[in-house]
Amino acid sequence: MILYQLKQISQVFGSRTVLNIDELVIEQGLIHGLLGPNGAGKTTLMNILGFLEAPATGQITFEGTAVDFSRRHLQQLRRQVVVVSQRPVMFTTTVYKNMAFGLKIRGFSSGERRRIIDESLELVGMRHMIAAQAHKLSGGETQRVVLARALALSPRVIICDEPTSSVDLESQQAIIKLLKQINEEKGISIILSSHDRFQTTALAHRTLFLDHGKLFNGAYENMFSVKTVGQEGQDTLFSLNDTVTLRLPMDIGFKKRILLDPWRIELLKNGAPHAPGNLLQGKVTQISQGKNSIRLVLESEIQLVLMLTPEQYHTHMPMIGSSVSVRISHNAVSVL
Amino acid sequence: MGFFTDSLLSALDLVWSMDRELVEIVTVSLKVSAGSTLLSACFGIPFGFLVSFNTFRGKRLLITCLNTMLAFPTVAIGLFVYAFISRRAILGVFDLLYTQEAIVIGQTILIFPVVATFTISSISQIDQGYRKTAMTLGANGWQTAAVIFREARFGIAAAVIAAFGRVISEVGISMMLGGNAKGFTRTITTAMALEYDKGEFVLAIALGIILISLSFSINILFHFVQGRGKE
Amino acid sequence: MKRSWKIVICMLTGLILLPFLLMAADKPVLSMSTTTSTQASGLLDILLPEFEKDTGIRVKVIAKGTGAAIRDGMDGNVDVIFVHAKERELDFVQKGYGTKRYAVMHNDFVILGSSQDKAGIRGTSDASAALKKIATSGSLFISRGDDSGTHTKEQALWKQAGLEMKKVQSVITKKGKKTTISFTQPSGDWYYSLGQGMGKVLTFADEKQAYTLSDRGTYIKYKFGRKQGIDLEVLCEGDQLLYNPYGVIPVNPKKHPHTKFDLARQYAEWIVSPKAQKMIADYRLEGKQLFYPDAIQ
Repeated sequence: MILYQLKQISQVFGSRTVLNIDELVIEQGLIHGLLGPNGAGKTTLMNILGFLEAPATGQITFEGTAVDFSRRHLQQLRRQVVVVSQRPVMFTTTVYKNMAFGLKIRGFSSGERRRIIDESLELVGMRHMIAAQAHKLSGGETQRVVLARALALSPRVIICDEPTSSVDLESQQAIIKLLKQINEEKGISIILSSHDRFQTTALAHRTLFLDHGKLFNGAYENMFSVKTVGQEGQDTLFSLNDTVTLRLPMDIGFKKRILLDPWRIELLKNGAPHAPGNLLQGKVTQISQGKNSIRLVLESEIQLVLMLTPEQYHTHMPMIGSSVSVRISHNAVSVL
Repeated sequence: MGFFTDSLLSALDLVWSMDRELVEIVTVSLKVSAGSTLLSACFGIPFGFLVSFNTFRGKRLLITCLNTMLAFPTVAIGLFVYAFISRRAILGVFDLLYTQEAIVIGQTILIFPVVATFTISSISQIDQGYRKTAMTLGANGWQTAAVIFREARFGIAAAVIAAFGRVISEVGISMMLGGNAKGFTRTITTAMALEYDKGEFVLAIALGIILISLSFSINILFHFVQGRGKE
Repeated sequence: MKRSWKIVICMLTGLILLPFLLMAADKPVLSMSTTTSTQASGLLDILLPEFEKDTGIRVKVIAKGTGAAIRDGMDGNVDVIFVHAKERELDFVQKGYGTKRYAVMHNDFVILGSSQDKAGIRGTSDASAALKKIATSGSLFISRGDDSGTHTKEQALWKQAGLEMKKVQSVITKKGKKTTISFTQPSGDWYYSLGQGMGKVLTFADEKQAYTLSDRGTYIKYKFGRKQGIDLEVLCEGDQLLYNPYGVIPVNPKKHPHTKFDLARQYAEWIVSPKAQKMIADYRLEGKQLFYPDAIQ
C-alpha cells in the first residue's frame, strides 16, 4: 500500500533551492532510510513528509488523499505523522506531562492517558523516569522518551531525523532495536535519516539517497569533480579530481560534479586487462554485507565504492587486499 | 542633619501608625498602577505574541518603534493624553481629566511597549523547536501558542513585574492627568512632589520610604522571576 | 492569523469601553481649581469637610499656579475656580468664562528680608517705595517668576515703583509640566527669577539672605511652623496694595454646558455665608490669623 506519493516537489529558502525531487514513493509498513551529507535537504524533506511545512511546488498524496496544504488539512495530517527532531525538544515539565500533551489534545481521558503513557514508556524502557524533569534527561534517555512520546499517539508514521547522531553507542543500539520493534509490532511506518550508512542499510527496508536536494539511487559517495580537458572524436575527455581521465560520449560543460552509481560500476573478471572502455585498477580495502547487497571499497587513484548483488559477488569473490579491475561506462555517470 | 533624622523618625512613625492620609495616598497609587499594569498586560502580551509568531512586512520596523517608545518621557505621554481628554479636546465629553481613569490610560500607554517588547524578546528566545514539537504532536494554533506561553512564562511574568515597577514610581503622567487632587488622584509620587514643594518633609519622607520599599521588592521579584526563566 | 487579530481588537475595544460603563455617579463631586498656595495654607482642609457635611458635595481640588488654574476654568476642565488674582478674575467673568466673582477673603503679602536689611526698608508701609530702595541699593531679590498670583502682584508693585521693566520669556517646569510664560521684570543682576513655588523661593531667599515678596501664609508656615524655621523677617507690611483678595467664580454653563453649575453655585454661596466667613476669620496658622473675610457686610 502506498503511503506517500510525491511529485515535482521543490522547496526554496530565499533564493536557494534546497529540494528538487521529481518523484518519490514511500510504501506503508516499512522502514525507509534517508542518507545524505549535511545540507542535502534531509531535514527539509522530513519536515515536508511530516506536514510541518508545505513545499514551494509539487503534489503530495498521503494514503490516497491529495494534500491541499491548507492550515486545517496540514494540522489534521499532523495527527497521523509525528516527527522526531535531531535535537528533540522536551517541554520544561515532567516526562509524564510531556507524554500527556498530545493525548490531551486528542481527547483521551485521564485514565486512558495514564495507561497509554505507562505502556509507551515501558516499551522504551523508561518507565522509571515517568516523574523526572524531561528537559534534564541525558541524550540517550531523551531520544527514548521522545520515541515513547510519539508512540503514545499511535501515529501511522514516525519520522526520525538522525535518531542516533547525538547519542552514545549503547543507546544507539537500543534505539535501533526500538525502531525495529515499533515497526514490526505496531506496524508503524518509519522514515529515518542518518549519516551512518551501516546502521541505516542494516535497519532499513529501503534506502534513499539525497544530495543537494536531489534523490539518487546510488549512494552519495563516488562523488567527483570533473573538468573537460579534451575532445576525441565523439567522446569528451574528463579529468576526475585531476587524477583520472575518463572518456565518455557525453557533454557536461566545463566544470561539474558527477556521481558514479556504485551498482553500475562493472567489476571485471581477472585476466581481462585489455578490455575496452575506462578501466581502473585498485585494491579492495573494505567488504561489508547489507540486506541484499555487498559493498566494496576500492582504493586506486581515487576511492571507489561498488555495490554488488550476492550473485555478482559470488562470481568474482574479491577478497580484501586483492587487486581488481573495474570499468566505468557512461551509464554509471549522473551529473549533479 | 538633626532636622533630617527628626523628620525620618516622624516619617517612620507615620508609616507605622498607618496614618489615614498616607494610607489613602498609597491606595490610590496601588489602584491606578495595578489597573494600568493589568490593562497593558491584556493588550501587550497578546500583541507581543502576534508580532512574534507572524512574519509580515515592516515587522522589524514595528519592533524598532516599540523599542523607541520605551524611552518616551512620561511628561510627553501626559501631554499627549491631555491633548485628547481636556474638555476642549476630542474625548473631552467623557470628563476624564483629573480622574484616576485618566492616569490609568496614560500609564497604560507608557508601559504597553514595555510589556510588548519583553514578551516579544522572551518568545523569540524560546527555541523554534518548541513550536515545531507542539505542532508535530498535533496541536493547533491556539494550543501551540499556549505551549510557547508556558515556556516563556517567566519572561512574560518578568515583563509584567517590570511594567508595574515603572508605573508605581512615575510622576509625570499622574501629575498632569490626575491633578494631584487630595482624596481623588493624589498618588505617592504626586504627593511627594507636593509635600516637598510645601516644605513638609515628614510626609514626603514617609511616602518615599514606602515607595522605595515597593520598588525594591518589585525589583527583587523581577530578578528572581527572570532568573527562574533562564534555568 | 486574521482571526487572532480580530479577537485582539475586540478585547481592546471591550476593555476601553469598560471603565465608561462602570463610571456610575454616587456622591456628587465638584471639581475646583485653585492655587498651590491656597491649598498649602491648609484653609481648605478645614472648610471643605464642613461644606461636605452641610451639602453632601465632595470637592475635588486641583491645585496649580494661578494662570493654569484660571486656564482650567476657561477650558471647562473644572466647575469652579478659587484664585487670588483680581484683575484676571474680573477679566475671566467679563469674557464670559465665569458667571460672577464672589469676593471671599483676602490675605496679604509681606516683603521679607534678612535682619541685616541692607536696603533699609524696615518699617516702611509703602510697598512700592520699599521695592524701589531694594532696586537702587542693588540688594538681591528673589522672585517667584512663575506666573503665579504672587508674581503678578510683584510685577504690579515694581511698575508702581516706576522702575523700568523689561519683557522676559521663560520656560519653567511646574509640577512636571514645561510651560513657556512671559512677564516683565526689572533689569539688574540683583534680581533673580527662580521660576518656582513659594516654599522653594523662601528657602532660597533664606539661604541667600535676600529680599522677597511672599504671601503671609507661606511665610508663617516656614517661619513658625517648622522645627528649623527660616530666619527672614517681615520688613514691610500693611500697604493696601499688598492685599491679596481671593475670589470664587463658577464656570459659566453657557460656555461649558456640562459643568456642574448648580454645585458650583452652592459652593460659592456657601463660602460667602456667615458661617463659612466666620470659619475663615477664625482660621489660625501657628496661632496667627491668616485670612480676613471679605463677604461680611
